[in-house]
Amino acid sequence: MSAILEVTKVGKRFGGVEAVRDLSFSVAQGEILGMIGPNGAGKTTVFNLISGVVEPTNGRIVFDGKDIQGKRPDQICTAGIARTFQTSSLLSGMSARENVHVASLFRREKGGRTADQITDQALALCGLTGIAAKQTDQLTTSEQKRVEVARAYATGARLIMTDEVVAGLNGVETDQILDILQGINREGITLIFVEHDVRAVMRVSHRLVVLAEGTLLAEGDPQVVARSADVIRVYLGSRYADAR
Amino acid sequence: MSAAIASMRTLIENDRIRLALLALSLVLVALGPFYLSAYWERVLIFVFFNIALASSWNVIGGIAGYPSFGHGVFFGMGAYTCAILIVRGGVPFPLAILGGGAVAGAFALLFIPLFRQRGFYFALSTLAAQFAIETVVRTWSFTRGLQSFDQGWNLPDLGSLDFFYWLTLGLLVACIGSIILMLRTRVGLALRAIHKDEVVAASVGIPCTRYKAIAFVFSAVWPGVMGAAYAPFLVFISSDNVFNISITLNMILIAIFGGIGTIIGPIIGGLLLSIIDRLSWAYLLQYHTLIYGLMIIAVISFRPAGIASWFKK
Amino acid sequence: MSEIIEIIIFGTLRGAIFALAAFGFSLVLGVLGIVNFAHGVFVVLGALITWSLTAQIGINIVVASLIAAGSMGVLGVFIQKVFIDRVFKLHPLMILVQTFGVAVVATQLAELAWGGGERSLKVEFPGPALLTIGDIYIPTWDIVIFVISLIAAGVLVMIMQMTPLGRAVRACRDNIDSASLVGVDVGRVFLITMGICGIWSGLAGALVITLKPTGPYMHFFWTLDAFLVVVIGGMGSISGALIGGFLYGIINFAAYYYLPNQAPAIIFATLIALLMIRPQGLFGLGTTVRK
Ligand SMILES: Nc1ncnc2c1ncn2[C@@H]1O[C@H](COP(=O)(O)OP(=O)(O)OP(=O)(O)O)[C@@H](O)[C@H]1O
Ligand SMILES: [Mg+2]
Repeated sequence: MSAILEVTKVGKRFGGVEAVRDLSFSVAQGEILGMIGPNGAGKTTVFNLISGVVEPTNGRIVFDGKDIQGKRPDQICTAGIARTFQTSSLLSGMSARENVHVASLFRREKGGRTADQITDQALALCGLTGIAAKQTDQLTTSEQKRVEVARAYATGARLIMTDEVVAGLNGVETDQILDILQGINREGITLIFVEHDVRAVMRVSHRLVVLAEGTLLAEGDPQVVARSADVIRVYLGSRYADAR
Repeated sequence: MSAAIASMRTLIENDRIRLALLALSLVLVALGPFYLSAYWERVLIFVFFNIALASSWNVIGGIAGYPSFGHGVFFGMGAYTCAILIVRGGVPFPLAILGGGAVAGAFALLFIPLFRQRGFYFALSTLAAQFAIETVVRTWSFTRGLQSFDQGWNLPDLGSLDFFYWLTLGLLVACIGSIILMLRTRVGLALRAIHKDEVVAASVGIPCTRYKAIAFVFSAVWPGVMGAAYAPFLVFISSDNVFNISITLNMILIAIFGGIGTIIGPIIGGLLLSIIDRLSWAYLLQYHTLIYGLMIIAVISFRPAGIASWFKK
Repeated sequence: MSEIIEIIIFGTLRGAIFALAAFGFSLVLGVLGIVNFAHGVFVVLGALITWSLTAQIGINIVVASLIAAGSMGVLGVFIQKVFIDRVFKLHPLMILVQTFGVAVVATQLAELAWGGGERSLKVEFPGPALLTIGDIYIPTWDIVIFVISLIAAGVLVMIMQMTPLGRAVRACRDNIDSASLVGVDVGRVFLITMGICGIWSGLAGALVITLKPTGPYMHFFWTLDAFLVVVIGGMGSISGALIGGFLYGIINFAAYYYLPNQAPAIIFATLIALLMIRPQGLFGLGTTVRK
């Protein structure tokens, strides 16, 4: 498997805080990479670095064979990376459909389709067709999260990064989003899936990376990684790890 | 009263009736010179200028969310370009109007670095640019007038009051029409997205700087054009009357008074504020500015979405 | 050479007043995250009230200055409570325009009370009118005012550092969300901040009128000057505003000294350049202004 994204020795400082430190990992074409880590581990910052929202202090990020660090967010999006945001980022005062449509309109390669067709397909894929006309403030949390996913999908990205898309959802809603994401993945789109809900991560991830304090703590097969003592220690404290 | 507003609202919400009303009022306004006194004709010309300026400001300030506090500069530039072209170069008036718009638009490109600022800092940077440019115009011999002691430009008589009435009305319709058309393209959605959240807008693939630049240049060209039309109407122009900071502030006040970020807002704001302005000039001269200020405070404190929001749900 | 020294001395002396007028502005920007376009009104009204109390009623200038400063504090609280608080959660642009409206109304009322022209106050001062340093003559009164400004800055720093009230204000400046989480009454802190802003700016006004003629229409320049000082020095910190005031005083004095006609263009171009290079101010705490 070839790597679609390669992050090499990337670091990011915010004043005194080293949010990400010498981080290296890669994502294979077509996989779903789960990413976990305790609060403040730097997961969102990694997304911000990859999507160009913040510039790395040092390091290289290569997407599809091209350096993307230092590029603007819109250039990176056009290059084929899209993301969702941890805190709702839907554009208020617009309908669900308009929120998705923004992405389709500014998509470069539309594959012979019109922006409207792309929007409608993305909405349908995420089960939003019936509520497309609703304003964002009338949507449920689950619907909001799905609009975010639909919007990322509509950009035509080959790599989609989701930041806690099932946080705050009940079991049924979570399964619905996971099914959508797996559907998207079956189209050949690579996913990075950041989540605190370990059950959800285990269900969809092909591979898992664990971040702690901005660095890579563990990486590999989800079942194996999740059982490693180190990972349990950062999540639950050393008492639990030693008890095993 | 509220029942009247409600029934008016339902009336206005019907698209056909709305279009018909719009066409009717446009015709009525266009026929103005046939039944209006010279005084009211003048008042309406000022209303047209005000609405066009506020509508242009609204594109960058209201729709894109970048409150430019230096927009009066483009009006002044249009006026000066027109005056200099006509007086120095003998250029025909229509060409001078185009020249005013072109110079304002070209100059707007120089403001693009300021878009790295946001909010108050953007407001302050543009305000500072206005003062800096105003000082240069005031002191540079090229812009002072033909004689070394001149403080402005005298323009030849280019047309009757009726001519200027129709000219400004025509430009106003073109200005608002072009704004509506532009907002229907993807530029409109891009600007709204930028206003709501620039990080998100960029992350879905919108090249924000480019669209902000488009919006800014667009919203500078029209004040340039209006300024160029204003110069011969006023006959004598100087930095005091066309580069005055009050022109910038008026654009902002009118847009906010009527309803920021909407097409109808600056129209309502321009009509109401200009008329209040005239009436208080006529009857309450001493308290004129006071009343103006009180109106602004009242609207923003109690109806921040502007007068237009009364007619919506 | 001595010319440059003169510019630095006079610029610094003048800068102290700029700083004094900008402390409140900086605090308000740091704590509330807003620009108050009516800021200059505090300075101008503080000046005119001092003038009336002294020249018309005959009250001692020290008492008059304190009364003027105090009433500007009340005005600050009033503006916050009645106007700004109402639209605080909306787009900050609204506050800009709203406070502009307040400034227009206040100026108009001031013109009804004092007329549109300028007033000035000459202070009888015991002792020599001029001091000499080398071959430079400096009006003693300028130095007195400089010292008063420094004392006023010191008092403000002490309030901010040593009193519970100051701590609450600083907590809100550093992070409003965590301040309210630990139980700081944010609304009250906003009121107090505007009150402090009014008092210190009003005091600046009381000093200004003894230096140069002041009229109601000048409020806008004072607002701009305060903004400039804060841009140079960085917002929120008093020492930043002080240094910003001195630097701005020197830039201002030099610009008017060498190129009196182009001075505004030079000053504003400097401002834009500064904003582009260091938006957090030369000595700023960082950009924490609301979007
Ligand atoms: N813009 C910023 N400025 C300053 N510090 C920041 C910024 N963004 C993140 N940080 C800091 O970087 C560290 C990592 O934060 P990040 O949001 O990436 O963690 P996270 O793994 O996403 O946590 P969570 O699970 O809570 O979402 C934290 O200490 C945070 O305070
Ligand atoms: Mg996070």
